[in-house]
Amino acid sequence: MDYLYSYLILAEIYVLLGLSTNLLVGVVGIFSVSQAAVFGVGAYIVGDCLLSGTLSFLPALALAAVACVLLNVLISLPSLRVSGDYFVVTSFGIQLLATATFTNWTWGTGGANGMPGVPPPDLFGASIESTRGILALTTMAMTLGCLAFWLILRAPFGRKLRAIREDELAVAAAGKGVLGAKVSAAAMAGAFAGVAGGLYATYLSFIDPSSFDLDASILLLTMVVVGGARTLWGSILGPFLLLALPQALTLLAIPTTYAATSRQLLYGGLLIAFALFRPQGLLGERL
Amino acid sequence: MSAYLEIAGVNHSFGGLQALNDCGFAIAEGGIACLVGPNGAGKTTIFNVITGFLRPDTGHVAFRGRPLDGLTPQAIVRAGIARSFQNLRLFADLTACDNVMLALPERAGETPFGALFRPFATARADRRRRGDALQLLDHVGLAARAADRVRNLSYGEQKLLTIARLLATGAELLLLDEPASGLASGALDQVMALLRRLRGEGKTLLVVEHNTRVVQQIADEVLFLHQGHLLAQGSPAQIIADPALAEIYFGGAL
Amino acid sequence: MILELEGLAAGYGAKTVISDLSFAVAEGEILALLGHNGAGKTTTLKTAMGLIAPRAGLVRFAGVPLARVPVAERVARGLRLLPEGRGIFPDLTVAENIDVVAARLAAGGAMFTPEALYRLLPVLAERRTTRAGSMSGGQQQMLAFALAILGTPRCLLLDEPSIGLAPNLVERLFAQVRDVCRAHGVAVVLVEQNVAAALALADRVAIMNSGKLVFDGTPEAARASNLWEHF
Repeated sequence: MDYLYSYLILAEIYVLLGLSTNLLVGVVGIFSVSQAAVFGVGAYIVGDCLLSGTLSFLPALALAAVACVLLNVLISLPSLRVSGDYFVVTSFGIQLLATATFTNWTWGTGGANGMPGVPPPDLFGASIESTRGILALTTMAMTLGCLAFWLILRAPFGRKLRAIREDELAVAAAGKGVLGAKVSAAAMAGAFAGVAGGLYATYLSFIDPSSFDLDASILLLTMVVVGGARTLWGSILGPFLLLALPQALTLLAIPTTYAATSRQLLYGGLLIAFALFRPQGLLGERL
Repeated sequence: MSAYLEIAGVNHSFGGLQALNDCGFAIAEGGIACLVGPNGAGKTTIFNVITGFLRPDTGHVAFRGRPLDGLTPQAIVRAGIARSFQNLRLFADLTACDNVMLALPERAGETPFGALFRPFATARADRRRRGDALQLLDHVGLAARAADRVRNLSYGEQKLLTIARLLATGAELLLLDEPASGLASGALDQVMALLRRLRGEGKTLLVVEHNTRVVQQIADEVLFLHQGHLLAQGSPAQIIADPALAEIYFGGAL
Repeated sequence: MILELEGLAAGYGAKTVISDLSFAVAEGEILALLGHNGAGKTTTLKTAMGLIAPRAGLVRFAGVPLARVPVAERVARGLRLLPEGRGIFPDLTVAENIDVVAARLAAGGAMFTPEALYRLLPVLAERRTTRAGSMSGGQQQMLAFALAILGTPRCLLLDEPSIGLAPNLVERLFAQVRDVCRAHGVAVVLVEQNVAAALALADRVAIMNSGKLVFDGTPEAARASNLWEHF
C-alpha cells in the first residue's frame, strides 16, 4: 500500500511540474529546458527554511513560490529577445549553471551529498507524518494547480497565450500586448514549480542535485510530449504514465545495475517515438 | 485643417539600402487609396512605419491631427489604425472564431487575475464577445466556418478572415497588404466586393496591391511610390495615362 | 518544342497559385514570362522544374512527360533553373562552386565544361580562388548563371536574374544569355520584373495575371497593348 501511495504522491507532484512545463513550453511556446532548475530552487528553499526552523511549512512554501516566480520570469526574459532556437541554448546554459550551483554551493544545498533530514510538512502547527496525510496534501495542491490551469486555458487570456505561441507579431497587430502575457505565464509556471519543489523536499526528506539536473528537465518535456501539449488531461496523464513505467520495468527481471540505464533508454525511445509517430501526444496537441 | 492620415518626411534605411526616402503623402477620410509601385518601392515599409512596427530614422506620421510617432503597435491599433499582412499571419491552430475574438478590444478576463479569480464573469463576458465575433464572421461571409480551425480553411476564406480580424479591432483606417494576391477569380471578386462594402460602411482603406487590374477596379485614388518616395497621386486613370510612370513601372522605355 | 506546359495547376497548402496554365518554348527561343508580383511566375518555374508537384496538367520536356522524373534527372537532361536570389554556395570559392556542380553534370563532351566556362566568362577565371559570397552582386549573378549552364543545358529557367544588378550589368548578363542561347540553340524562359529589359531581349512574351495566362505574343504586340491591363 505504501508503495502505491508513494507512486501517487510523486506522480501528483510531477503533475504540478507537468502543468508548469506545459504552460511555458506547450501553451506559450517558451521552449525551456531548465524547469527542473526552478523545481530545485523551490525544493532547496523549503528544505533550508524547515531545517533551520526559520519558517514553518506554509510560509516556506509561499517563499519558495515567490522566489520561483521571480526566477522563472528572469530566466524566461531572454525569450522576449532571442528567437526559439537560441532560447533553447540559453535555457540549456541556465540548467547547467543551476546544476553546478546545487552541486558546489555546499553551505546552502549540502552539495553533491545532498540535504538530508528535511522535516515533514506541517499545517498550522500540526506535523503531517503519515503518507496518507501527505497524499491528501499533494492531492489538494494538484487539484488547485489543475483548476488554475483549466481556468487559464479556457479564458481569453489562455487564447491570447496560444496565439502568442503561433505568432507574436500578429498578436501585436491585433492591438494586444505580448510582454505582459508572457511574463504572467512564466510567473505562473514558476509558482507551480516552486510549490512542487517544496512538496518534493518535505515528502522525501532528502534531496540532492540529481533530482534537478538536465535529465530531470528532459523528463518533464517528455511528460508533456507523451501526455500532449496544451491540455489539462495530457498534463495529468504524462506524469502518471511516465512514473509508472520504471515500476513496470522492475517487473521484468532486469539486473539493478542496468535499471537506471534502461529507464533512460525507455524515456529516450518514447520521446523519439512520440515525436515521429504521435506528435500530438496521447491526449493533447502537437508541441 | 489637418489631413486624415498624414505622413511627412519619412526616411528609413536597412543597412545601406534607403527603403524610404523623404516619403510623404496624405489621404482623406473615406474611400480606397491604393499604394502601387515597382518591387522595393517601400510600400510594405511605409505600412510598418504607420503601424508602429518600424521606427523610422526620421519623419512623422499623424492620424486625425494626432502624432503617432513612437507609439507601440498596440497603441496605434487603439488609436484606430489596423493592418493586415501579406502572408496573412493567422493563428492556424485556432478556430476562425477565436482568431476574430482575439482581436476584439481588451476586456477583463484577458488578464490572468480575471481568469483565475472571476471565472464566471469572465465566461459570461467571453460569451458576449463570441456573439460579436460571429457577427463579424457573418459580415465577411464566414459564419459557417466559425468553429473550423484556420488550417482547414481555403486560402480565399483565410483572406476574408484576415479582414474580419481587422474589423474586430474596431479600427476605422484599415491597411491591407495585398488583399487580392493569390486569389482566383471567384474569391477575388468576393474580396473586392467586401472592400467596396467596407468603404460604404465608412471605413477608410489604404491598400498595397500589385495587380493593376484590381487597382483600377477598386481604387478611388492611387499613390505611386518609387524608391521610397511618393512620385504621383491621382485617380487610377490619371496614373495610367502618365507615360513617365509607366516607364518607371515597367523598367524603362518600352 | 523543348518545354511544354499543358493545363498546369499548382500551389502551396490551401493556396492555388497557378491554374490551367499552358505555354511552350522552342529550341533557341527566348520567352519572357511576365506579370505582377504574386501572379505565379516563380511557381510556374518551380513546377516545371519539379520542385513543386503539379495539382493538374503536365510538363513535357523534349516531347517526354516529366511527371515521374525526379529533379536531378531533369537537370541531367538539360532543364536548368537559376533560382530567385542567386543559386550559389557563398562559403565556397568560385572554383569549388563550379567543381561541385561539374562533378555530376559536365563530363567529357559536354557543351560547357569548367574550362569552356572560364573562357566564356573570364571574370570567373580571375576569381577562381575567391569566396563566392565575398564577390560583388554582378559577379555572383555571373557565377549563378555559369552554374546554370554547366554541362549541356537545353532549356534555362531564369528567375529574376537582374534583381539587385546595376543597369549596365543587366545589359551584360542579358547579352551573355542571348549569346549562349543563339550559339547553342538553348531555350530560355526568363522571369523578369524589369519589363522593358525583358521585352528587348525576348523573342516571345507571355504575361500572367493572378495565376492565369492573359497574353502570349511578340514583344511588339505586347508593347502595342495596354500593359496596365495585363499587370
